Amino acid sequence: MSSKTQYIISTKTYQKIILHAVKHPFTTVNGVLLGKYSAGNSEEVTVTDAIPLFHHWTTLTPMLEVGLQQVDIYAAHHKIRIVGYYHANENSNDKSLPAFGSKIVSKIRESFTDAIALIIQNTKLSLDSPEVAILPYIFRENQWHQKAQIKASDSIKHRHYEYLYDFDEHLENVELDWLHNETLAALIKI
Amino acid sequence: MSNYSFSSAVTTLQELRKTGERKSDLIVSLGETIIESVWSVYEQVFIAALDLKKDKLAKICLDNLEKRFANSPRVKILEGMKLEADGKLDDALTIYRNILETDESNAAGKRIVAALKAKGQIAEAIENLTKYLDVYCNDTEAWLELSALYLDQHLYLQARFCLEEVILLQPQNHLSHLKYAEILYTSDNIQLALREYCRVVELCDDYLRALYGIKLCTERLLSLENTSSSSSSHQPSKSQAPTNSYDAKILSELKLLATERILNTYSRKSRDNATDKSNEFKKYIIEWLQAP
Repeated sequence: MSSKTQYIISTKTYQKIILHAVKHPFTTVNGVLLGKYSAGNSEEVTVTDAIPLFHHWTTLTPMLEVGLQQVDIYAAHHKIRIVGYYHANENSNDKSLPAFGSKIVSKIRESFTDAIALIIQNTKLSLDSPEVAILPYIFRENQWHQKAQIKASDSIKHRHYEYLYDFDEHLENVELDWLHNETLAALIKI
Repeated sequence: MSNYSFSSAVTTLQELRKTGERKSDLIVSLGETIIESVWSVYEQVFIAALDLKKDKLAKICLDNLEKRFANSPRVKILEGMKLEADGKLDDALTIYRNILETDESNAAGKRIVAALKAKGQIAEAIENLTKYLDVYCNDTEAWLELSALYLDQHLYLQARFCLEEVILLQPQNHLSHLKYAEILYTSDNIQLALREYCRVVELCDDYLRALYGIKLCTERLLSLENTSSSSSSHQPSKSQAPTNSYDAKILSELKLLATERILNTYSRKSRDNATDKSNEFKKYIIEWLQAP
């Protein structure tokens, strides 16, 4: 892996991550990022989508196993792969990646060495003056380093988060398609 | 006014305003019911406003409550929560500790735990919550919070103990058993986890999360069985075979049954509204179920 790797994060990805965090303001949420190396450039990763996983509890593993395996299958069908992980802490001032978070990232790195981890900065979320609210952590020399901020927009005002369903919600109601999140995708395209 | 519900009281008052009728008797009796309930609404909205960092709204609610209940400890707790939301955790802790000095049994005890947790002092939070639970041992919410704190520290054995308390208090609640099962699985106690996942399905038919759990557990146990029987084919080692170990045949049947129920759950779904995406979605699940 090279430290020069650049990451392009799609607006859709950014929006889904933020909406997931906003939908569950008082719990930890997490999920994975999908994407691939940009065509003809192995030093650039395009992150095309975020798949929301959990909000009930994130430290227990059984459903994580199921979730990751199903995302893998989904990604394979779309010729993309899991390229990262995102995480929003319960405590709004907490910008650290907890131990189990880095464990998940290490696991992802086994199959994708340039995996990226994103932490949501809850304090930057605001309806009136939205700031860039994602902090990237890049794996280098066995440590996670903060890197430059990444840009994107706000669709919280339109309450789009009501149409975002994670794996936890899917397990309670199979009709909720956490992999495609079709309704939401259509909404945030506009 | 007992024969008026809250919402119909609101509508009736609205209509009276429109028509300008002065049915003072009716208006007073309807108004009283609404005004009495407004205080709990203020409290409820206040806490939600803090969650969303809506400072102005929070302030309106709190100001009104302070005016009405000047020295109430319950309102003092809300003041503390505002301080917590502003990041003034030590000030909040002072308020809570003062409340506890005059009234040991106050709910401020739980707020202290929350403030310590926000400060990142998890060990102290655990200590305080344990003390609280010594007195209020039937507070399931507190037991669940304690288990979450232990899980953050990767203390699975202790987290497990908390869930056992919750199950004793609510033996029929499938969600307690579910969380218990997931803690057991995470701490590698697959046999017990399987039993608990089965209990969830027993209490709540075809509960998908538990069906997935049963599939995971049976697969893990079957693969353990295979490796241990190939390594010591002559005599099963006693240390590896706990007294309540399951028969491989039963495990395979359980796995099949869980797989069948999962498939059934998804087929029910696509019969009702089969769109392209939902069929595609089902395809992934089937592929996952058939994976070796």
